[in-house]
Amino acid sequence: MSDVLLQSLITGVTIGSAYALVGLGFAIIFNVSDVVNFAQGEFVMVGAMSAVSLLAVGVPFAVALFLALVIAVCIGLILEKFAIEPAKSATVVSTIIITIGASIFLRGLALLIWGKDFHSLPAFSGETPIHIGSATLTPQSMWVMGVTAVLVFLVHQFFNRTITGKALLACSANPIAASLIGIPVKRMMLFAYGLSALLGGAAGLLIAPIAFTSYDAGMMLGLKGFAAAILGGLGNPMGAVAGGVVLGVLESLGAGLISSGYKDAIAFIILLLVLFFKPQGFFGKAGEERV
Amino acid sequence: MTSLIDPLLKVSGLSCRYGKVTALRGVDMEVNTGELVTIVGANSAGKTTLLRTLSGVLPRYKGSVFFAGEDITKMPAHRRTELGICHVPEGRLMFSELSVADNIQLGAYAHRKDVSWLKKGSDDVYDLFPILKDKAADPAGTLSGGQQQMVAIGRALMGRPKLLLLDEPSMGLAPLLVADIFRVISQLNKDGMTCLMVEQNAKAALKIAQRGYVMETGAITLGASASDLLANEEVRKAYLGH
Ligand SMILES: Nc1ncnc2c1ncn2[C@@H]1O[C@H](COP(=O)(O)OP(=O)(O)OP(=O)(O)O)[C@@H](O)[C@H]1O
Ligand SMILES: [Mg+2]
Repeated sequence: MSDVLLQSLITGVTIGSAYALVGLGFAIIFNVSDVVNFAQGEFVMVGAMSAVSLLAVGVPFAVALFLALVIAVCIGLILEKFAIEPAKSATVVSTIIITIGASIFLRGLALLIWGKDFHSLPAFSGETPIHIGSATLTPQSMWVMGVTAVLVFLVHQFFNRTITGKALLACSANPIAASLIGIPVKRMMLFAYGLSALLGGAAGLLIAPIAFTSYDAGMMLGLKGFAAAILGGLGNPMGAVAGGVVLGVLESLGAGLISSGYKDAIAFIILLLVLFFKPQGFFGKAGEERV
Repeated sequence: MTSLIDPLLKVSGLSCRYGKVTALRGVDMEVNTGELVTIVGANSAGKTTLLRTLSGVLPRYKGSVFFAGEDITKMPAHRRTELGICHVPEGRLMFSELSVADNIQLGAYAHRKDVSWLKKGSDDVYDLFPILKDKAADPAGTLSGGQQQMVAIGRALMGRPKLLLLDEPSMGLAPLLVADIFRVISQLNKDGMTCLMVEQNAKAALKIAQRGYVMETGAITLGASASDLLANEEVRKAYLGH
């Protein structure tokens, strides 16, 4: 394998891991409520920007990361409690529009708090890369891939092995039957938004040392995560993860082999192609009856 | 002690609306511990609405519901499940994409911390419906109507019901299966389960019930022992087909 190819692969899987986490968040919320939460990207931004601010005021690194995650989760909970839940009788489409509104609101709020400057976090553990041929693998890349793998594994176990995870799936499969067996559907919805925000916030923290973050960084990442979820078949969490990694690799191959100018365009061309030719996604079995 | 004398379920003046449509108008009824009570009534009489209001998934408009002496009128659905009101819904309402085993396990959601019950309860369900054991790993949506009804009953039993609500358990089933399902329900009742069952198949329902109510356009119009209802001329004409 040529080194350019290997390097593109490493870069692609790294950034693709972030897309995977965001896509996973999309899939979870879609799974429990059939809603595409377009504020998903803002969780990423809130996580990264909060950590930047906390570090700036002298909070120790690990504590800052932890608090930033807490803040992202709180934003997710507040979004559900005060924007989604009050509109419970709204149609799915109206609810999606509410999430778009919420994302614009959060971006505006971020602009007020943090201004337009670009920020980044220091790498979690040094900058000394490992050389593989002439390709390099940075410690931060390993953090991104490693933490993503752990989170994805935990989410997978949660949905497949725990009764709470299955109860979340039950809420989407049949909310009335779920209430009838004693599942507090409203509370589960809150939980789903919190979990999605946690994953988004984690993605933000992980890639903030690699990619610059700013008040509007959530928009692009949100759309990439959405593309990942679509690629994997909305409503299929593990499909979204695979979709994210595939998207990241294609993007970075495209940037490496053609031109980096096409990087963002690649995601959207893929998104459009998938929506047009294979709207149920590539890994989606759940998708077929939903779309 | 009082719960042995008082009815287990006491419904007084219960009304319910969908927007401007009134679906229940002042329903009074009760179920005593150990009884199998059936409600018969034509389409759209409000039977499903009544059961859903009892489960707490529909808000009531007026009236009260007491369960084991406790006022549960305003209690949310998941708390009522914890008290032991379990519901086999009309149309079965499977979690289609989840496996049969998951559907059954989820029925014990209110008792999810009780690991020994999760095991014992599902063993009991598979003893009651052995065929489900072979299907345990299949998505519930792939089962036949009769098997889905078994899953729905099993799922409700996992909630350790003190009162089992059954909404048209025979709906859409082949005659042979209908007899099976009624036999199971009758046996559950003989083993001590208190049941409130809504049925269009009035004859079969009244045969296994001790008491029955007739419901018409949102109100109870008649309540009597099952044998009296079976003998009642008007009931025979309207619901028993002769
Ligand atoms: N979700 C709803 N929104 C509006 N009206 C409803 C709704 N559900 C039921 N209704 C109306 O309430 C009335 C009672 O309906 P319900 O389903 O309780 O009757 P039922 O006795 O269970 O009928 P069936 O034998 O067909 O199951 C009907 O007039 C019905 O049209
Ligand atoms: Mg009905």
